[in-house]
Amino acid sequence: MNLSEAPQRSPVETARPNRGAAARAPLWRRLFDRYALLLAWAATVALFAALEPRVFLQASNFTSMFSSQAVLVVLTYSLLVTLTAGEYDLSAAPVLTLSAMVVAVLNARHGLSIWPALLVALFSGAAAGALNGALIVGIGIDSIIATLGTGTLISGIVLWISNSELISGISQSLVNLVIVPRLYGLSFGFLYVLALTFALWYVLEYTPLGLRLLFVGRGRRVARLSGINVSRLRFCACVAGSTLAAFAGILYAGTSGAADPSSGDSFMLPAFAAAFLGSTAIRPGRFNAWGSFTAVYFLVTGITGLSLMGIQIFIQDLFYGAALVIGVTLSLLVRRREQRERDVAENTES
Amino acid sequence: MPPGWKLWIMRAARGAVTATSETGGKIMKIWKAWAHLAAILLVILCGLARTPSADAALKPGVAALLKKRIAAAMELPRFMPPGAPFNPAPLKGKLIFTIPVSTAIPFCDVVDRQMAEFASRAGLRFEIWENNAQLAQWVQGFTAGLDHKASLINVFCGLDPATVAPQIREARAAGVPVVAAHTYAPGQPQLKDLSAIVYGAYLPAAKLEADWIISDTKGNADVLVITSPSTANSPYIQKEIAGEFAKYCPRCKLRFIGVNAPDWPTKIGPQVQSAIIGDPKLNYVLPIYDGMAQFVVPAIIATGASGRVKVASFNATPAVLDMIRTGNIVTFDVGEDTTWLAGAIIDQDMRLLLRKKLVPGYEAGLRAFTKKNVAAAGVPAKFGVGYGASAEQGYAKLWGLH
Repeated sequence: MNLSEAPQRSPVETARPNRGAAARAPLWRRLFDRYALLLAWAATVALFAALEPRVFLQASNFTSMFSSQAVLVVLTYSLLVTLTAGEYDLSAAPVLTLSAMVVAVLNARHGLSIWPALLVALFSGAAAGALNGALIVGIGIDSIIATLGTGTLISGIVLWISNSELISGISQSLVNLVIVPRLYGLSFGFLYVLALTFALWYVLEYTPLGLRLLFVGRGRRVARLSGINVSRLRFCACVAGSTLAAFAGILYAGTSGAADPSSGDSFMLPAFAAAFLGSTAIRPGRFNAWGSFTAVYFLVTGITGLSLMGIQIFIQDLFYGAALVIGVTLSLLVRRREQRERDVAENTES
Repeated sequence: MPPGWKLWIMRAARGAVTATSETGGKIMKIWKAWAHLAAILLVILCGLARTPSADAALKPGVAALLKKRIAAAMELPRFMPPGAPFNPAPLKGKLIFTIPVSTAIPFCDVVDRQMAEFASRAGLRFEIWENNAQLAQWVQGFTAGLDHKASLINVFCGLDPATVAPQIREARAAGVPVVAAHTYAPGQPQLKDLSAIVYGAYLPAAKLEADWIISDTKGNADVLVITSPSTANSPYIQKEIAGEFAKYCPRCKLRFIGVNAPDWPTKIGPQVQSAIIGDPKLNYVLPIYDGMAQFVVPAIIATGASGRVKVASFNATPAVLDMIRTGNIVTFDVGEDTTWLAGAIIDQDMRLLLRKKLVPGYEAGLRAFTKKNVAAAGVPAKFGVGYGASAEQGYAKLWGLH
């Protein structure tokens, strides 16, 4: 049985908004649904500005918050692409680690100059994505199982090529291009994130490719009947997602100037959290770039504020988890309300 | 200099001049002039004593003491015989079975290989249980050790004996002693079924890190210490660091944050950034294990504080030693002599099997690395390099090997 062709509800489908109902909902409510996370972010900023005005409101606090999260945001975008196509990619974090390690091994250990090393790292990500695509689309293995397997395989390769060691000494030019404060205290890493956010937003919202990808994610059969080459799009989404994860790995290598064989794994859950929390904002019900961007920085703002107040780490975990659970729960409640309104409207019309 | 010192000197000088120029030269006036001159001298001396010269914030003698300690720690470790010499010949052919926390950790791997070398030279058989840090594999390791008729089992390299307590009891019941090596810090509660201990040198290393920071900042340290509360020896390291600062630099400012190992990549960076922004006088970060350093350094760079905030740590991981050699943020890293550690474990094992007096508080020697001596660890640095050969020669002599 081809699992991927079986009728199923994609992650997007489960959180699909009802446009008819949304259209009938009052404007203020629609605006609130879209921008609730932004409001929550603003409220968080206001709260910590009131509690820690001397430190929190410093420009350097904001620039460091923006500059330090490039890896997480780009990894979230990697997931965003595959989730939009209806696939779960559990190999994204191992691909991130592989990419960082490829840069470290080639550049720091073998003395290859940084640019070819970066190209090889990106290529390794694309190759991992192609392997995922072949397993998911070609053979028909469920994406969770396939990427769980390839992720473990990639982790093994990372341990092998690194000899299980932390490798430092990556070219300073990469560090300068990623983390060193440049523009009004902001690093280039943040500017790459901004550029990528605009690009993803444009592609997913305003191009036929983005809309086709959305259709594929929401219903493969319907998409196929509409003449969309579903298999090709799913394969390309896997490759694009893994290439973005490899780019996140390059940013990681540039951030730390080193690569560790296991560090990337810890980004996996925060990235999924940001992707799902982001799907409740800006374009509720869709995995979207600006929503994810807002989600990452909302969470980071909260955690930074708590850090500045000297709050212990477990409280930060509570904040992180609670924000995610509350955000997704509210989003679900809003959609249920919309569904009820739609049902009422349809009954009235009939 | 004390506040208003210029005014004091001017007043005193004016008084002296006035007093001596008066005709008649009465004795009282001469005394007055002398008193004014003495005041000038006193003020100057006080000023000199309170000039912010090197180490002014430290108690007398402390700066020299700390510098001496650090200089000694930077030299090659000098092996000290842990006990009386003995002949390992009666143990020929006996099997020492070692279960490390993971054979994929380079530090453990290096010490494993050096233990195998020592055991071989002493005529013992030696087996390592290959694993990648999974409980099921450690449990299997005990079964394999008993199946292979091991004479002794080592749990090694951070493998907490508490996690394999039933297996340790089973081994003891089968007459196989179990030694915990490089897991506990002295003073840490220990599993009672263990037959012997070889400690990790975490506490002397912690003292050295504190000494370095106090010395490097001339007693004006403002330090963020990053601990890892879920690691059993972390609270003891924290206590040692706090104690050393309290003893030698009570004016220094210390702040502790705990980040558990799985969170290092995602949480250390934001914590360090917040600390740097929140405390403009912060001048040192002390991650208690140098595996954290790779997340501390980018945070320092990202906040533009690389000229102000430095890093000192423990474990002499090669990549971190390379950071000392090639950069200016990591300034100090302490490492254990891996050969000494390997020899200490085999030595304690053999003393146990020969029913000789065990070595109490057994620890390996340390070496501190700074920019001055880091090249000794190799370029690029390697595990086990930079500690000299005194431990290897010392154990050979202790056991009567040639």
